[in-house]
Amino acid sequence: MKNLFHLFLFATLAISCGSDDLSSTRAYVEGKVKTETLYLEDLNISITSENKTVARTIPTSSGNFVLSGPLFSDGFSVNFNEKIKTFSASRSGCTLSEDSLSIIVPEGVSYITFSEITMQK
Amino acid sequence: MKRILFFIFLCISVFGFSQKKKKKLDVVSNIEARVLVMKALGNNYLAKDFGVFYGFGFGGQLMTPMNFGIGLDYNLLFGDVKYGHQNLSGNLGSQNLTNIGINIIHRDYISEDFFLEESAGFSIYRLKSSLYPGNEKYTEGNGGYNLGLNLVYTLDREGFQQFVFGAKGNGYFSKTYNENPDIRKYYSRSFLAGFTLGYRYNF
Repeated sequence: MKNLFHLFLFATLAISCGSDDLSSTRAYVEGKVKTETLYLEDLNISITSENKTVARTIPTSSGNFVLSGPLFSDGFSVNFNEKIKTFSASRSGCTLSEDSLSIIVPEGVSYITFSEITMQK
Repeated sequence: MKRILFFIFLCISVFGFSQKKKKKLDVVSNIEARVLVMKALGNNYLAKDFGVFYGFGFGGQLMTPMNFGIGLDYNLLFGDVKYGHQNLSGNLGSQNLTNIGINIIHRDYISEDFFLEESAGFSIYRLKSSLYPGNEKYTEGNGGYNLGLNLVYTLDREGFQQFVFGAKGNGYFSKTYNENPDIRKYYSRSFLAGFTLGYRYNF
């Protein structure tokens, strides 16, 4: 009986002391893709954070897509398997990568809408 | 805040029980093993992007003769992201939801064989998943509250063994952050409701 009571106290203490940092950020990206010759179902879109692919999807038949995934660093990038020509974003500071395959979203942004992403092909 | 609450709780339980020892009142205890089924409700991540959660759990209680007591619960639930919702959950798989809770319990005796048990308390939540490819762990969650109503059926004359049929309601709050308040709410709040079936041993 007494042992059980001690176990109870110990468990209570263990719970109250166990605090790990759980404040994690989730990225949420919405967008619309425009292409002239590509098939939309062949287009892969993904979010990369700290070199890890945290979310991936393909656009719907109208070109829309929604993506969400956990972030491991402050900034993230939205990647495509085809080259991007132009894009318009709801937030400023986004840049196109050198190989034109990804849009780099600046640090501190976790919610962004791309009203139009036009592919090169 | 959480720690302060626990500390107050600890003091109450320490003083409460030490008093009872002197008066020679019997505090009875029991342990329980259970299986449970839970479903998240509302417009949120756990409800829309996950199916039903199945799991098992263990519990222990200390009951005073005034039909009040405290209980400690550990539940482990397994869930799967619904097909077609992977874009909203991210590259995460094999989710499990851990729930550790402390409850205040009150009993109402209906008949010799049956009694009702109401409980309320707060709990700690961890939604763990692994990022694929690879096996990196990702944890979210924080705290919540739990409410329960159990119907307990006594199996033997001495009252050692009991069956427990329960209904459970759990609030879930996590620290998951997004700039957009709607998205933040979607990913960080939920309410789960479910049923439990347990076997309890008193000593």
